[in-house]
Amino acid sequence: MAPDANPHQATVADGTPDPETEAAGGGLVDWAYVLHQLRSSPLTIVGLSLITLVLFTMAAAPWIAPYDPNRIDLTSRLAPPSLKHWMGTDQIGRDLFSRIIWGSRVSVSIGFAIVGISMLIGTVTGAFSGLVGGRTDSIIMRFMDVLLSFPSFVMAMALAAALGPDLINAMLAIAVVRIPFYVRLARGQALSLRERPYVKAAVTFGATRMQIVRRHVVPNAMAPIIVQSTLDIGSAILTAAALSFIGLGAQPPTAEWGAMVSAGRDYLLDQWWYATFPGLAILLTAVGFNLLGDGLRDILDPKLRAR
Amino acid sequence: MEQNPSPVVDIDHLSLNFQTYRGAVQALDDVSLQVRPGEIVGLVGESGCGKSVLAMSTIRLLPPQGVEVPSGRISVLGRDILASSEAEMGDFRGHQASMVFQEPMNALNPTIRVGRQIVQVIRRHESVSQEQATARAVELLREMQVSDAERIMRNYPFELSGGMRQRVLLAMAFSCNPRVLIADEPTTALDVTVQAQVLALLRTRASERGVSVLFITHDLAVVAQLCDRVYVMYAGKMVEEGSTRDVLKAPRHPYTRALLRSLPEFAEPLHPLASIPGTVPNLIAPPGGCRFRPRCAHAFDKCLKQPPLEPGPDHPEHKVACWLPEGTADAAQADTAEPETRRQTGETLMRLDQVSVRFDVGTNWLGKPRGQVHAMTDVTLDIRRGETIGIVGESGCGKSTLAQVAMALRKPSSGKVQFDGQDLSAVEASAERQLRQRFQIVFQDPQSSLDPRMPVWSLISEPLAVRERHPRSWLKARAGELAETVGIRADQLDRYAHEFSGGQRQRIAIARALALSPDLLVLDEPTSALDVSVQAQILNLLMELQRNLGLTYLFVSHNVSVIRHIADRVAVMYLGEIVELGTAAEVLDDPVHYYTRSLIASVPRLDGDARTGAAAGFTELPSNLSLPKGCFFADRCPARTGGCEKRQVLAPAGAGADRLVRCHLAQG
Amino acid sequence: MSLANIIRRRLLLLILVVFGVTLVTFAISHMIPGDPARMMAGERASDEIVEKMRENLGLNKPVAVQYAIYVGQIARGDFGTSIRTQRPVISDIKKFFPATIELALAAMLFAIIVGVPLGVISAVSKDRLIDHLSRSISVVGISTPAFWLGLLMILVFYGQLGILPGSGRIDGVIGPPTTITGFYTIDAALTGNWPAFKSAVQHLILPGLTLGFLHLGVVTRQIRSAMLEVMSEDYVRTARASGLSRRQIIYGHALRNALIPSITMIGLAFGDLLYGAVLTETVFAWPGMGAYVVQSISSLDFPAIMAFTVVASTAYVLINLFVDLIYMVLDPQIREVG
Repeated sequence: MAPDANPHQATVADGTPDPETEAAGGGLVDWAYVLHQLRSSPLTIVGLSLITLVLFTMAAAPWIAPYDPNRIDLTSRLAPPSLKHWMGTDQIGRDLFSRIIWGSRVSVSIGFAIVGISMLIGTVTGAFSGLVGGRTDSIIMRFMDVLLSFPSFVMAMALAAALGPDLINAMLAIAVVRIPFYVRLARGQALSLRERPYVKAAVTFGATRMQIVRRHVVPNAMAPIIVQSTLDIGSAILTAAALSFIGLGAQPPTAEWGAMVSAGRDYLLDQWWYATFPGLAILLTAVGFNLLGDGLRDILDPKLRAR
Repeated sequence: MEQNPSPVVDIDHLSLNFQTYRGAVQALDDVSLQVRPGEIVGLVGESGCGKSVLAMSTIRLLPPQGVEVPSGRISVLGRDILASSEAEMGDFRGHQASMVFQEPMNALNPTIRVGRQIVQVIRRHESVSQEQATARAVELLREMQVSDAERIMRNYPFELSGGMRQRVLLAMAFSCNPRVLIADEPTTALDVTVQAQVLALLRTRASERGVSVLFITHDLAVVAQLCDRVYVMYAGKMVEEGSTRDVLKAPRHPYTRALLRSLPEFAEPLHPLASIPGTVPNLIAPPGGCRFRPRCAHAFDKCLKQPPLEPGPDHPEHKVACWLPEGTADAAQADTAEPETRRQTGETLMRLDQVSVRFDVGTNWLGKPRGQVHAMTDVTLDIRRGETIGIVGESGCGKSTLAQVAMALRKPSSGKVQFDGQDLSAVEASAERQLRQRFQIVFQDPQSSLDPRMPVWSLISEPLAVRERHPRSWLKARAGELAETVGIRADQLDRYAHEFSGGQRQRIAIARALALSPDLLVLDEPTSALDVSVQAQILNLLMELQRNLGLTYLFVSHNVSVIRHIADRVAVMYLGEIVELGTAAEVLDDPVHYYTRSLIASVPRLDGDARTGAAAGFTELPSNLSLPKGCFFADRCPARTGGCEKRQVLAPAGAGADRLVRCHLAQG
Repeated sequence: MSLANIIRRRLLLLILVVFGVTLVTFAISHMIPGDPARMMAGERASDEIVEKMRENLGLNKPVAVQYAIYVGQIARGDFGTSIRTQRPVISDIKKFFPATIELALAAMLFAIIVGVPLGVISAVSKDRLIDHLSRSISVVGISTPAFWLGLLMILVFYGQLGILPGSGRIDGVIGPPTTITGFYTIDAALTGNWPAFKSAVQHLILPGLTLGFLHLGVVTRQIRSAMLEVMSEDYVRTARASGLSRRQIIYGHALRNALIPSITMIGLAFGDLLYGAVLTETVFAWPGMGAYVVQSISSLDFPAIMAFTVVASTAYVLINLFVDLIYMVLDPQIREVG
């Protein structure tokens, strides 16, 4: 803020090894550091494994699912977990394990789509707002303040209710209410990058605004946005499942995890497996994304690195 | 040791390693140090030499994780520090041995009133009542020359200036009558006039109370002013030890000698400085034998073996770790360049005409500003082709704002900036872009002025790339040429900025600034983030480039010695105004404005003994939110008389029309 | 920025938000496919009756006028009549509101009492077993679907163990205590109605734990990261160099400063409890606003849904305003400068 920052501030940094002579190779990514982080944080590995498993399940669903997820078998209705049906069957004899495997394609893709839409719209708006500044920025941000003050789930619920109960509508509703978070994040990034000396230097040698965005802002703002969106995928999946659970999302017979828990609710006390396994799938997926996001943040955060 | 059996601090052959993910850093290697009762002992070295690690270990403040002590002992006041329990250390720290740190800004808890923070320490160590402790805290603050101690007690840290916070921290450190004080660069973050006051205070209070001090600093001149004895560290080793006079006047280790000779005040102005080639080694795999060997001009076979720290035959108290026979002098530095004569400077290249800059602070809920900072007021300055004009002043004086205005990074609130006769605010956008390439800037911190995600060739050639489409190979070739002129090897062009040392990064930043072949370079504290030996390299490079390329420099710095060395003319700024302007010799060797005088008097000198300037008491810099009516310096001026209540003008001092001063006492 | 300024700014925002929410709900009620007049009148009503209904509802007036009327009605607390219950929506909301607040407070209390110490312990023993454990708890808390956790609770504690009730606020045989605050636990305690108190507490445990567990994750995570940040500050080093005990440093210096930013986060989380409440109440048949709105959704009862949205949003903004005030009182930099 002050025009003259204290000139001595960066003078003494004792004890830090001289970077020049550090491990040869170097490059953009400090792999030794990444490995060190992974080793000291086993939870990140857990997250990475869970996400790998989920992505593999999505990709390989047709090959690993033992049954057609919609195959009705009235002879084995509400069967408990067994060698034949690992996670039991539902009230019309569909194999729950197969439905959960196929359900990953629905539930997890929805998460990706929600975050993709809100991140794309949000970051573009936020970066624009932060770089343009002035009146435009004020207006956009006041508007975002208002949107951020809405309780997001309630708004998503109202929107989804109005659009009509449908998976795509639920997805759109959740995506819309998440946009302001990304606007704020990207704007913060843009504002702080705008003050970096290397961006100021670019101004002095005549770089245009577009060149600055392309060369400096986008590459340097990516890391925190990637971290945030990874963390968000988990919460988007949860929200979508919640909307399905109260009947505003996926409709039967779609194999979607939230809707499956909802259906299993009626059989809760006698057929525990019905509601339990789909919920477990949601939990593990969300845990995976959250752990992975935390780990990414630790690896990418230069402040933590100094510690 | 022989003559004094009981030093208060006795560090005995201590080695210390840090475990990092890259391997063990040998931060201290077989280091010994003693502080005798009542002594002030200096510990000097450049960044990364291990001096702060040693300071922290003395009262075991390093976090225990990842620290190993393979050998050695630390004894403070007879206590075996390494063998003490954590509870014992808790009773010991702050009570018998206390410590103050570099950064007073964050060293106090921002949410607790400072009085309570002092009282808390007193009551931790002594069973006294709240009232007694409070009374003692007030008394301590008074001793630290805090005039309004009761009020300060109730303040939060953010309401205090840096100098005031350091006084509070000193009061806290002295609060339980410790016998040892460890001070880790306590004045490095302070302005030079404040530093002088704090140093004087530290010395008088320590001697009154009989406190022994271990003073860690990178600044040899501070050592000269403050310390009885001094230790010099390099790369985790102690290389020299002796009385301050012996070590600074007759240094025996090649490193100490080179370090001293790289100080700007050691050379004739505008002459090349003696610099130390290379950088401090990586302590994960330090060089075998003498650690200074790779950078030493005198290294020979024997240096492959580690030299012991031993007294010389004639100097029982002056020890050195070097195999060289005593009396080996450095080869007289061949004065390569012909004795530099003052350059003939040409016509005006850039002109600042009555430039003022104000910014709004704190907006209310309708977005209206609640106040204005007057960063620059009515600054008029001609920058002549081929010269180096130095801008010097303390934090908040407006010197960086001036640099930004000159670079057209900030628009003046009033006044004009002309470059080569063209008004920068009046030219069209395309013409401005053309003009811009003729003046470029180098920032203070090379780390943050280089995009971490670009390879060096791309960083250096960026000014060319953003102006015109060029093939990558052409850009790379051009970057190679530029890198060569600043001493970066062409085979390092594919690396990233974080893989270089601070000095090399600053070279890269300079190469980038040269890419468009500018006429004027604005240098905004270009060496302030660097160690002195590296600073010397960069100053030499800048002087050489100026000679070869005919550049004009606007050189902004808080460092009077650096400005004295490199500038032809100097403008001294205070609270947004130029108070004195003239040739470097005139202004800095024979100042007439009372602010310039106090500034120069505060600069610690290698040859000087204790300054007395600080005895005048403590005055705070006025806020530039509401400027004084008359002379801005009047409130702090020792010569204040009638006429000072009027606004002062910048007018010739004496006959020389080129020497201007803003003080009615010195004009005419 | 001064305290008064911030409050003014917040109140302005409050007005804008309520305005925005009503605009959205108004727009939504106009977006709904189908004719509200016909819905109100019923499928078999004649065209004349529908037309009459339309007039009654003001649907033939210009949109702006309709909106003004709508806002005017809301200002008077008139949210229309619920299609499902056939009662004024406002009286439904009044009836269900205390139940939701009681549940949310219980959950918050649990989350803070357990989460703050857990976060502190986790931070001061970073990268050790206890830290991994507490991080795991908080990640699971954040990642658990509330509705599913509720079902599991019912399955285990009601279905399998049979030690706690799985639905409702109080035993039907005992009946609710005399209304004072609307919170059954407090009302029962105040009136000395101990059987009702016991039953109310028993009914509160499972939904309270379910909702609380989700927020335990948020609180622990926030406290941990704020503590880590603060513990690396220079003033903590000063405190260590002054010989202050570990206890004094952690609780007197670090936690104090870590709590200040955490207040905001935890406050926001309290707003988010509304989200959890909708699901938790549904699962536990807890007669609160959340369960009410879900039932309204399944019967497409738009007056009720929109009223809930307006009330919940307003409550959310008010809570945030309140949290900001606490924050400002705690942070001397804001308090003193004002």
